[in-house]
Amino acid sequence: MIERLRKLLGTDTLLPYWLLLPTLAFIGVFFLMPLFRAIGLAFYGDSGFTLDYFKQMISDVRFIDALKFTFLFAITIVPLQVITALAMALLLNTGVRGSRFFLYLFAIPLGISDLAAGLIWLSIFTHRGFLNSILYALGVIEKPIHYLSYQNVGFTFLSVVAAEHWRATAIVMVILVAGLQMISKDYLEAAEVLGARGWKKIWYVILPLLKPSLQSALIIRTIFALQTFAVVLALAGQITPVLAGEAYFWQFLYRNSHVASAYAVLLMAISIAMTWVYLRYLRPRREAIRG
Amino acid sequence: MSYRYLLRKTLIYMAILALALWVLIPIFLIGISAFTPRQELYLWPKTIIPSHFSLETMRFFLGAHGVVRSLLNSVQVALLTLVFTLAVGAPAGYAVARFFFRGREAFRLGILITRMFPTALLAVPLATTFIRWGLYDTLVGVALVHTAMALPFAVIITTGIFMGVPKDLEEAAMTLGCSRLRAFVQVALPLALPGLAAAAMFTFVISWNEVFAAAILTVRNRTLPAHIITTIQASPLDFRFAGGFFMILPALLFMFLIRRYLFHMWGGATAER
Amino acid sequence: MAGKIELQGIRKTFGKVEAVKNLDLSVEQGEFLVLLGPSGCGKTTTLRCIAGLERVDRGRVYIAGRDVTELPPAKRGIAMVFQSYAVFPHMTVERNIGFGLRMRRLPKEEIKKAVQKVAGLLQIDELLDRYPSQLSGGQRQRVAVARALVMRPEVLLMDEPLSNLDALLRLQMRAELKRLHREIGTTTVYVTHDQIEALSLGDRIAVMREGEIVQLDTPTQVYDHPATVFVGGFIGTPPMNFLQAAVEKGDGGVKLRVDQFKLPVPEGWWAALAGLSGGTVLLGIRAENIEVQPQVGPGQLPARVVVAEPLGAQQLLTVQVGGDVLKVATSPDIPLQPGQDVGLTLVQDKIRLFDGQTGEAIPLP
Ligand SMILES: Nc1ncnc2c1ncn2[C@@H]1O[C@H](COP(=O)(O)OP(=O)(O)OP(=O)(O)O)[C@@H](O)[C@H]1O
Ligand SMILES: [Mg+2]
Repeated sequence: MIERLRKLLGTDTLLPYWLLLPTLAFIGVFFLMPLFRAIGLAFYGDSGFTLDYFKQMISDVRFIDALKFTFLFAITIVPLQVITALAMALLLNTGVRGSRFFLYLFAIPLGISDLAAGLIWLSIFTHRGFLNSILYALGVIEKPIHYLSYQNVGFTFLSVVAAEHWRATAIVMVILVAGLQMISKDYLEAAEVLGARGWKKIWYVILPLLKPSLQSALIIRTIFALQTFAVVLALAGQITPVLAGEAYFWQFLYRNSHVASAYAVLLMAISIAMTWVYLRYLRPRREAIRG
Repeated sequence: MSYRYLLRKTLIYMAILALALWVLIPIFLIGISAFTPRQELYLWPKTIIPSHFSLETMRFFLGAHGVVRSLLNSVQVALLTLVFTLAVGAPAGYAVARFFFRGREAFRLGILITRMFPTALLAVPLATTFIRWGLYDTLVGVALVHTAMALPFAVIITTGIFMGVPKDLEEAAMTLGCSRLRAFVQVALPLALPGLAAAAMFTFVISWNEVFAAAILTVRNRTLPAHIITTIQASPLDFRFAGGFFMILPALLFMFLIRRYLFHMWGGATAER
Repeated sequence: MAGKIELQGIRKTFGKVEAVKNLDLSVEQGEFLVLLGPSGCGKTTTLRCIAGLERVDRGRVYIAGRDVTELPPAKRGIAMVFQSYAVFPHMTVERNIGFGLRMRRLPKEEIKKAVQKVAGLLQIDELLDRYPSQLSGGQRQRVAVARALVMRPEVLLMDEPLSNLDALLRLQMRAELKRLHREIGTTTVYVTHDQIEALSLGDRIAVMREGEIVQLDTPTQVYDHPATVFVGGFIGTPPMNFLQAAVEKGDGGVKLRVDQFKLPVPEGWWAALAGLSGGTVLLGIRAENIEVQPQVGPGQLPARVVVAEPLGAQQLLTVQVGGDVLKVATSPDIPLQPGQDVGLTLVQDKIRLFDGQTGEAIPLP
């Protein structure tokens, strides 16, 4: 008994917990507390529990648009990124000369913020921007086109997609390359011996083995795509509202933490739901890998 | 056979080059924009390459009200974040790498889950809390939130780094007269240092780039991204381009310095799942 | 410089695994003690308990008369050589060897002299300026030993220090370690699962199994008089042979029946076997203590050759006796074919008997 207790309270047993303590405290104060407070702000007003803030959120003129664009962004950007990143990873995986160099080159946008990416692509899409200049130089247009305007919501949307696609593909690529490096060479050689080459090898061997990496890349990217904000603001202003942007405006301009929190809670709920969907339907099955 | 091989090779290189251009050209273009004479930005028809190289736009940007101050704020916040994050996260990474303890897996899962929290969910409620705590509109307050955002990465990355330093080495030092702490300082720390430096730079970039929380939690003490985004509707194009160019500079530099570690870090991060 | 080690009732668990159970051991001053046993039997854990790298759950550890149970490794007067060598990659050989002395804050000159001396002893004085990445495995191993010796510890602990070397180098380093111990005389505890290493190096060998010491004795005793069937089967190449034997009491006194064959037993053993009448024992005998005749003579145990392996200096036979298989070492000159019937003579005073149930040796006069 005393022996057990001594072992339980000995420095060797307790040291790891002491080392975790700062992180746990930080998580408590900066994740859990805000989480509960956000829920509190969203559901509780001066007179107790209320759904008013959610009603206010939903009845806002831009709410439906924000919800629509948030989802549209996520479902266009994420697949685009995954396909591009997969292409990058597989191309470099062919082991051509200089692949290391190109790997680093492809990873460059990793360090670029969404705001900066928005401003970079603004220089392209603004009406005196590079796109118009090039089209003019090619003789396609006479007068500059207003891409980013209420008259051109479709193109505005696409410009945001272009910017986000450009910026965040790097993260997906790095995750996939790391995943590819972990695939044992034995599998690939075995596949070649069994006659799987080229596309067949990619489809039947590499992709199934890459599923865990694809899964984490999808989860990470979807969660962050749902939070798209600064790119939209830099390129589209309020032409294509998004949920995170609305949370920002309600907090920053209208000084209403309650409605802003309602948006935040909604975002969190969507993130959890999407993660659950991915985990549920993309679970890499061991049998599938073996069989 | 060799003809097909050559064709295949050429196609692969062309695809890689196309992707490389796709990555590089926008960066090149913002560079051009930032060094185009101001009035040329508004001309029509506009040439792609400016008539001459000019520092005017950059000078205007740096001279604009609040820019230098926000720049200094950004650096301070990023440095504070870096220190906080490593001070808090590295011990946890060390614990996960070195010890098998009850709750270890739960902790790792918890760390992964915190990555799912939207920034809005942290920043919005913290704005009201920070007013009470006197942290609202302070650089330390912003740095603390950035620390929270960078912490999951820091823990995962440092776990990988310390796993790369064999436990034996520290134990050998302990048998040679070191206390546990001294063994860490003498042996584990020097060996982990390059990795920790990479993690530090990564943290710096996370903070340097963060805009949502920084904008919501400050009024006068804005960081550079916060300053740019809160004034974006009112500022001229040349200001925005110069700002964009300025923001990506240190990020590009750091990413270049830690390029070797990028895959290591993210590889570790995904292997955790 | 050389101290006694005393372990009293040591116990160490990892969760549900009991790595060391209630272990007592005392190592004399200047002794070279080998901990030998199969993988996972708790050798490393025992060593780490002595070193202080593991805190014992129960029991006490004394080194040179001091109770060090609660002390950290640094204060125990030990030095250790790790299986992986654990040479610090960010320091030169010289700084590696001098590390412990620097931690003791000895004057620079003194450290330099001590390092030079021990490096000379291990013949690595040419390598002092190199980094570990520029060394071969054997050289790294020498650095690890030098780094431990320079501390002039009361006790030197080594965990399979030779297991990462190739066969030839291992042989060479084995001799070297023996020479070093003779010259320096530090009390040494040496972990290995290689029994040849144990037999050649140890003053005494502690054979471990599942967290317990089953036999603690000199190499010859452990080899000749294994305390249990496990020890006999673990030590020696080939391991000891065991035959099922029934104890029978007849008119001619006590006999052991192996298969159909009745083996007469010297009178001196009768008393020891008296209580086992009607039961079975295990008869243990080493390969080199069995003589082979090409024909079955009277009084010989009949057997059939299964395999004959010429091994240079000797010939190793695998023969079948009833249901048991024996290994027999003979001179390579006797021509033998698989399938051939042969007669075996067991050297009387090399026969060991073990309890059929417990596997423990039956003491014979
Ligand atoms: N840190 C640990 N955590 C959990 N179990 C452990 C730990 N260290 C050792 N064990 C367990 O304790 C038992 C004894 O291990 P130990 O390392 O002492 O064996 P060993 O005799 O040195 O084996 P080997 O010859 O393979 O090195 C094993 O069952 C092992 O799995
Ligand atoms: Mg061991």
